[in-house]
Amino acid sequence: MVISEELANRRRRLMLWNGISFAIWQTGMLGGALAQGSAIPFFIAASLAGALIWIVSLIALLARRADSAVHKALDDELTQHNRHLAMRWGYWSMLLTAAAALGVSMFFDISATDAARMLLIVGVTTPIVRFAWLERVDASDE
Amino acid sequence: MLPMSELLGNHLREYRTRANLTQADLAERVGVSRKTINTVENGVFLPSTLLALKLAEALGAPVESLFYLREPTPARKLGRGRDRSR
Repeated sequence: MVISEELANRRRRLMLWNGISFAIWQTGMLGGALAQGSAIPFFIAASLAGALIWIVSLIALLARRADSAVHKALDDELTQHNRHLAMRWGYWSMLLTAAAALGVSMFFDISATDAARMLLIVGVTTPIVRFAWLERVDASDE
Repeated sequence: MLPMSELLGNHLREYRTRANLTQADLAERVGVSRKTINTVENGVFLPSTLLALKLAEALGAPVESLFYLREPTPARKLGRGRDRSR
């Protein structure tokens, strides 16, 4: 089961990279669309770097296969509980983002594409990062 | 309303150490991660009935001796103060 612990830590780290890089990638694209002048190359570079890290972390997440006993321990009820909590955070954060976008749209013009991208960023990043955070909890040692 | 984890206590650590098992050993026996055993022992995570029964079986103890209901104190009944003694 030491293997399952190593794999769980690896998964947690990769998910953190995956979530944050997705946010950088998409925020870079959003910033690139909204920015003007000299700021555009910065957003494009950040977006490309984010996309690259996201792809690499996604491949690394999907690449590792464990045997059935380890896989079972990696997806035990604590993990399922953490996943459930993380998804709940994702739901509420998306709802708050949608409400915020609605509020802002009363004073400024927001395109549907930008609003959808904001929802996507929050909806994807929040549960991933929250899950990685919950998975780090280890009440105490033996 | 009190969190469920504050209403359920357990003697898992005592039974495990008496059986001369590490958290990792017990985790392997019941097919969960060591972290799950750790969080159950520390009252951070409430196990399902199925896991509670598996733990009892692995430790050779009745489930009701492993887990018990905590009596809510008056302060807890009123929703004030949280038990941080664990």
